[in-house]
Amino acid sequence: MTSFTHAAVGLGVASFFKEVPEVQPVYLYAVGFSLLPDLDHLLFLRTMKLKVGGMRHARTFMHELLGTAVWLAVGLCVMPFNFQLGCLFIACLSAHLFCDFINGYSEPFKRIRSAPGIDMGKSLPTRIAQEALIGGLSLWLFFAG
Amino acid sequence: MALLRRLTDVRKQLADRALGGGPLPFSAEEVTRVSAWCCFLAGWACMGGRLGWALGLLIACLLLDVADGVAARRNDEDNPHVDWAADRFGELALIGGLFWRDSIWVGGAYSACYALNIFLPRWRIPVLPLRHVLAAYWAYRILAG
Repeated sequence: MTSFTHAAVGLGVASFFKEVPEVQPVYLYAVGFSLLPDLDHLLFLRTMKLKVGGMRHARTFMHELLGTAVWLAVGLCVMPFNFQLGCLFIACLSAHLFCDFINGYSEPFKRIRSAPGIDMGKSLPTRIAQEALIGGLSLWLFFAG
Repeated sequence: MALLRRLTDVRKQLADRALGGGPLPFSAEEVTRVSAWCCFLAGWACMGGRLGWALGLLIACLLLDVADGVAARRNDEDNPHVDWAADRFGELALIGGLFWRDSIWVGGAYSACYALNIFLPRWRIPVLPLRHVLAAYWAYRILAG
């Protein structure tokens, strides 16, 4: 998904935490956490193309199932210091990785076992519909929630 | 292990019978996609404290998970890794809500089982029925008030 949609999803997650004083400013944290996994795209800056499918190779194992375990462990390590922040971190990261899996090309079992890549986003209309729906739902939660 | 395999076979036969004969008008991948979204939305419903909605969506997810197997057999599709990956990413989407709205012990136990589920197939061990157990737990919580 695009960075804009990830940021919108972050705002949607933040709407569940907005009354919690321990994670203020929650919208800033949530958007930051939601964009965090995309840092691995920076490793592929020279080969990325700004077109549909031009970034399918630009992801490391941190975007895949092994990465989910690593991010989960990071969130669990944050919890003893600030439980609410750890919850927000896990919620934002899991939403990001789920959205990228359901809307694009991935190799979920990378570095775990051999399995072919999966392209859940091969239909462009489906991709656009999914981005619009989850982005719209998140913004609705943010503004109305 | 043999009992588990037998139970899976019985479940498949029942699902095949329930959905009638002949090819289905949708692909297994599309059913898997909707099932994964149901799981994701169940996680958000849980995060929002709507346990009834979360349970309903999780049950829908589990039913669709059975239906995608039927669709795959009918339409002669053979992509089990798509279903496995979607199941894992769906399970991931529930973790944030569990930590946030339930106890740290439930969230911790669920996270540990999720991490196991990522690696168990590598050693040819069947995955744990995490979502089924969670649905039973939520149903118990709703009934217990």
